[in-house]
Amino acid sequence: MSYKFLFSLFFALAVLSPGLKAQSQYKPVGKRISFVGKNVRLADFFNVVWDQTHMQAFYNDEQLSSEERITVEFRREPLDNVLAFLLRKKQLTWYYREETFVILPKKPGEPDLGQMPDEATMSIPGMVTDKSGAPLQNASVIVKGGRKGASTSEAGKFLLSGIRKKTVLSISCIGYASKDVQVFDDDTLKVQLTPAVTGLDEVLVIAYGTSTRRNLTGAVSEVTSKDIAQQPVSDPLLAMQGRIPGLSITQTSGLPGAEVKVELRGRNSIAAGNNPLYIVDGIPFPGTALTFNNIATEGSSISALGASNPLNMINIADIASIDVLKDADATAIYGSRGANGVILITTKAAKQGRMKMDANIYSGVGTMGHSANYLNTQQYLQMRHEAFRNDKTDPQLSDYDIVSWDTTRYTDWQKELLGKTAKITDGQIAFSGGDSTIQARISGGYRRESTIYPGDFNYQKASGRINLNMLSRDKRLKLTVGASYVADKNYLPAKDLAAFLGTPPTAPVIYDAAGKLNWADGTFENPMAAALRTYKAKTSNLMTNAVLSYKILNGLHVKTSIGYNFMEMHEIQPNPISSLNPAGSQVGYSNFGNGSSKSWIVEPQVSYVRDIAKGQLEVLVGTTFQQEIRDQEGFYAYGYANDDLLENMTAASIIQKLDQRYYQYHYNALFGRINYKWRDKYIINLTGRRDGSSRFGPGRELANFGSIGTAWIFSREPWVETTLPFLSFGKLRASYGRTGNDQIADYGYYATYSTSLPYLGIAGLSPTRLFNANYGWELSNKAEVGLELGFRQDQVLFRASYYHNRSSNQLVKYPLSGLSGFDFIIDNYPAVVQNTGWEIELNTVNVKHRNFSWNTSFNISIPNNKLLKFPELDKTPYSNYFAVGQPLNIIKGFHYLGVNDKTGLYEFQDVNNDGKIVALSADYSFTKRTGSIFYGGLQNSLHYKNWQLDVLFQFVKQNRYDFLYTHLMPGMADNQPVDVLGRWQATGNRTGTQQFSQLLGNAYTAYLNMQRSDAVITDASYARLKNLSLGYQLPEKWMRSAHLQSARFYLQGQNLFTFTGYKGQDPEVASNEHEIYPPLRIWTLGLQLGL
Amino acid sequence: MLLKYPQIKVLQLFSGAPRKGRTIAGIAIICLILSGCKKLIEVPVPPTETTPEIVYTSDANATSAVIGIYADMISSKGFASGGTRSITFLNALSADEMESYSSMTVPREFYQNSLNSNNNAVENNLWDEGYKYIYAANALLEGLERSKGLSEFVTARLKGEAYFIRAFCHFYLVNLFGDIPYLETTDYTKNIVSYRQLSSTVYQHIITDLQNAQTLLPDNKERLRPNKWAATALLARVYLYERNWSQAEAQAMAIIDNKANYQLEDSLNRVFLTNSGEAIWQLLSNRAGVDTWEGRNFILTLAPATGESNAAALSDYLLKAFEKGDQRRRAWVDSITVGGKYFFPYKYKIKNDNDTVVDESSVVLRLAEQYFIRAEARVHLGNFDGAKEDVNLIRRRAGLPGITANNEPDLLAAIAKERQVELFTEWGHRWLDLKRTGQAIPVLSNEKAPGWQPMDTLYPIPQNELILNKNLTQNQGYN
Repeated sequence: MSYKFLFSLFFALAVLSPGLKAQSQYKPVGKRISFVGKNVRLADFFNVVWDQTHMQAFYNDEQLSSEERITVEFRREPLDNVLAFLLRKKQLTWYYREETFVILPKKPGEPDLGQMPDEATMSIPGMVTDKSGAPLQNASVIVKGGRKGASTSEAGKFLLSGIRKKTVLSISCIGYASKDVQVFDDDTLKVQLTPAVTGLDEVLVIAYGTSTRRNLTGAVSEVTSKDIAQQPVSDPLLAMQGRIPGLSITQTSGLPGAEVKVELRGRNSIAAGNNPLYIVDGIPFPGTALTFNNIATEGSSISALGASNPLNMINIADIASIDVLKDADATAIYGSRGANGVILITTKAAKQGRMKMDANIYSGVGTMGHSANYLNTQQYLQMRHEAFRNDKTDPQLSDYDIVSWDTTRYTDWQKELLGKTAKITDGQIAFSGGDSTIQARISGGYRRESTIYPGDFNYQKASGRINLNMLSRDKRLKLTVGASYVADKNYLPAKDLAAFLGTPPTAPVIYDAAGKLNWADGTFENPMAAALRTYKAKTSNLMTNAVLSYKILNGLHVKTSIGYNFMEMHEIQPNPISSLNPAGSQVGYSNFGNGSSKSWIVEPQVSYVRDIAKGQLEVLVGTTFQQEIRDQEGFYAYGYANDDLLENMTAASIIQKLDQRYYQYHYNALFGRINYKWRDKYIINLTGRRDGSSRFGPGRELANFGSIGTAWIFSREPWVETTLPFLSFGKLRASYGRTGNDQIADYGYYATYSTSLPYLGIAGLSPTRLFNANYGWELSNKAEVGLELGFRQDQVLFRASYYHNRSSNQLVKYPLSGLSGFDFIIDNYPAVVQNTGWEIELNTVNVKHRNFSWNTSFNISIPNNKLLKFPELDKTPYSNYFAVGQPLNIIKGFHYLGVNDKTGLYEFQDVNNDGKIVALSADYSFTKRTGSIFYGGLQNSLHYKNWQLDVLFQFVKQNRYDFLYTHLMPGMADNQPVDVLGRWQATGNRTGTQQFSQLLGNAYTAYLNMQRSDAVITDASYARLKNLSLGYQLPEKWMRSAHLQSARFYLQGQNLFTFTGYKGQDPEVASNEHEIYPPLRIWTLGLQLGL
Repeated sequence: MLLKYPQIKVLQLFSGAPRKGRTIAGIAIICLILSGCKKLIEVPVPPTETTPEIVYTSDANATSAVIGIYADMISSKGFASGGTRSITFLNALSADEMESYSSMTVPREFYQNSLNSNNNAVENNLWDEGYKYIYAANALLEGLERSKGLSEFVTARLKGEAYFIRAFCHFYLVNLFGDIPYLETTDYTKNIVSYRQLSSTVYQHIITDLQNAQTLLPDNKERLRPNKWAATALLARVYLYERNWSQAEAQAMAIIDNKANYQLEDSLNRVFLTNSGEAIWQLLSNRAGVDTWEGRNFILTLAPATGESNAAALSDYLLKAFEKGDQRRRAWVDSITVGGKYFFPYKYKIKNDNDTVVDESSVVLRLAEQYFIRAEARVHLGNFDGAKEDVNLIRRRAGLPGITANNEPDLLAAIAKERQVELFTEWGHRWLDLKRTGQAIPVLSNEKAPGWQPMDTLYPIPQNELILNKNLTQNQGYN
């Protein structure tokens, strides 16, 4: 019903009515209102009044806007008081007439009607701001234990009248911790709120918008800058380890800039990409790097970094929050890109307030946390000689390690190769400030990190960023601009030196008398040569984004976000003559790699918010245009006369182009969301997206995705309030939807020829791939239910969720027999992978005092991955890697029985009883699960006066490759872990290691079978003191005299202790190839200053 | 109850909006709906690639497609390259020609005749790479069949080269692995389920392909791309292996009689030069700094290394096979003394080359072999004098007196011996000769003890191939 429509009629009646005065004396008796609401439209509030009192409001929209927002808390308040409160600051009054009350302008001097006079009351003006002094709008100010309340204006101001002395006001605002303040006099009350920590009302970034923990229908987890700042790392991903349920983050190496494996809620895809979608300030960020390794053919990798990690190109100190979107409700709006989850990175925004400067610098050291035990010289020689005895042969001329070398020498290669102390220095500075229309934040940072390798290897990163907000005077037009430039430089050996830990301990001296590498006449493959073959990578990333929004009407906004990202990488891998084995070529050469990625995105959107029928409706519609061009090339430059000019391509006598790749990706979509929240109790959220991608074959480019999410905040139900009074918050939520995965190679459906090296001066052409037109989307159906509970005024928050995802139409990189001329073809296969799992989070405020507080957060994830369906698996090559009903991460092979006490050889179960152990026969059918079984973290935050201590434990229960079997067969010219000493020597020995041997005979076959058995997978579970951060805030008194806003000293430690039964250096980087540069144990000291 | 009015209200979404606002909102929504245009998600073929349709529309492009095969062959370090994972090197280790000093399992397994079915070189560099060239050859044949606008001459030549490459690769695969699938299509759905065919059947296909190649290929002096004479030379060898003596003699004779094109080089030091008079087909290096991978990897400047490169030396057995005064021992074998004395093949004399001129090229087929083929065929055909004449021609160049044997077994033994010292560490001649003449087991049981077993004459079918194609079977003795 439109009240104002009827108003003119009634107004005329009322004004003309002679009995007006008399009517106004009428007071409705027993009409009381109970209502609690934040930010409620006045019109909706009057609906409530109608519901509860059957009194109808009449007013003129020009005098009182029905769109006005109020935040009130009334408990059985007489209607008169309610109206007095509502109209307290306005020149309005009212009178009653039968079942109506009419609001009209007050005559000058006329007192407020319904105002209860009180002898000792006063009016309190006030202002609510955040810590920086920026005003907070819509904060609610409520008299504790009373009925009065107000909400703050855009300038953060409020006025409360009729307040008694010593009244306590409770001030709260979404995203901030509420605060109680006592009133003493009628001076302007200034209240500063601090951001909420475990609160339900902290702002969470979601797809194309924000929400709060309270109102969320989907599964979202967040790490904020506070947690990130506690860790002396440069990679945002590493700062999330152990903190986000459902997110498994594993380093592939501890090297700065190395690749990080990210799995959100398990592995959805058998063969396509399993990376989440990264979005920085609304702009998709490339998830794969531009390294030469990515384009080079097998075996010609030029760096130890693997695929490297592009997220390193974001300055971690500029990150305000990282939000991880998990279920269909949160991710389906990203359609084809959302199947593996979405990680939203939001940078620190410019804020209103006086200009301030924040500086932060820390410095520290890193060392290898745990060293493995290898044989010493005496043990090694014992092994070698025993091997020859067992083989009944004598060492040959070619057995240099015992025939030609000085066998009294001992080199601890672990100490030589990984024994140094890495140094870390990190400095950051940021300026911010602005008025109500323009705000800016400018920041810069620099980081340098060296390695534990011998030699001066290091990683450096410099970054700068600008964020600007501009707002028109009528507050309709708003522009937000962000630009950042990050450049890094990685200087490393071309190969991980940890791969050389098997070098015999009897090896000759590393350097000869002249200080050159010693090759011992060519008998010694000197591992230090790898340290001379260096790798230099320079990456730079320009990231810009702008959001332009215009408020057409109250609640109706049009908005366009535009982003451009340019990343460039240059790699040089020189091979100086000094590093070359004199047995081979003595001419220096270098590899060069260049890569660039340019992408832009434009996303016009329209959003509309309106209160409808006691609820709030939000509608969002938008479209995406996105394109990316990636260009990569590799060169080989040969014939350098000396080692000085190796990094200069033109100084080479011959330059060859090895490869060039070019990828173009086009993407276009239409998306939308409808969210309806009814009485802050029932929430429904619908999302949808129609996607088109250039990665798919003709006729299969388009697909639809969508989700439905619902939440029921049952703690708002009266019957819950009465029956479960201890419950301060309770929410049940559920979602279901469908997302897709398009992380497959570009041009996958084209059969093409690409250029190969020239021959006879003619460019060659080679077939690139097979044609495949039926190349469609991989689909994930995701279901989720969640329960969220708050106790003790939300001091204890419990969250549990269960998800059930099924990914079908699997894009399988179908390995082809070499007979096809190719390694694989990518094809869709009706296989189904299921990921289910539990995620539990508990956040508690254990103690909360002014001087002492103690918070605990705990999370655990129990993922369960299963290959649900794979039609005719046994007819496909995948039968040797997968089994229906089992996780994708399994190994298949022989079943290890032990060492035969008579033959001294490893034995395996002969399933088909044919007397032989044969690969791919029935003998080869045992499976063992690899990867994580559960994982999580436990964080305790303690604060005592000026001290702050944070301790994070990370734990992972997992199976990984045992480093024992990554070496050559024990007995060969390769050093071994000391564990092999428990080997078989004579009949009757019961041991875990077979007899030593160096021949390619039966022992060798047994050893190879061992490497293909279930015994190579071992328990590599660990619990790690991941992070410790101790800070001391200088007393305010001192700071004032030093004109500082804040000053803090801190000590931080990373990867301090690891509790594990795994015997290699580090269970996190366990590999089936060799030892890997481990994550370092880091200690840093830092200082943070605010000016 | 839950949604009291939303339907109506949604319709009234813009009811309260002023006209101007409504118009803007309307335009915005129309814009959204209009997106999703197909053009926005189309991408052209990348500039670094080209489509088969384009490849087979011009002589130049189609030629590039066959050139690509030779470019890959010489640059891969596998199969035909002469590098550490080529047939030349790996077969030399399997036979009695070279000794490995490597601690790496890939070469050690060849050297110790203890191959495993997941040996990386067996899978990637022999099997997969061989079939990769076969695919490219088949693609070429199919593409040329469909092509438009190509000249007749180029079409014929390229077809001939494709037939030749297909036959050539199958020839080595059948000799290394025994029965193998003979593939004549690019249809991967058929290829990946193909069965092993009897080697005699494979040989029939090879012969047909080579005959086709002979008629299609040009009769010219080209040595760096196969011509009619390369096909003839390989065909002569195939007939020899198939014990078709008269055909073997006839094919070999055809080349030997083509004196305008091919003559034995008088100097042993000129045999392996690029465009040597003796070369029938050579592969030309396209890698900077490398003339031949043989030169790069065989020539020792220090003790043999323990890695994969420069990690082998000639065996005593081979060195002893040279007669006294054999010039080949002097010209084609060299040694280095570092700690011990190590001998190495020195047919290719350039280890590193800093200029762009490729002085030496890897010889795949050469005339000397054709004399041996004709000699051996003649012995079987009873023409002992003719056989001796052929062998002695080669011996004379090596500064050796003629042979005097006068019966079939002695002549055959003499030819085998001569092949051993003439063709050593070239393209697996020794390995294939031992196998085809039944000498592998008696000779290698002695020379390669204790690792040698009779099953080692065939390499294992790669384990992954067995996984990927259930129709394949493993060679005896392997698992």
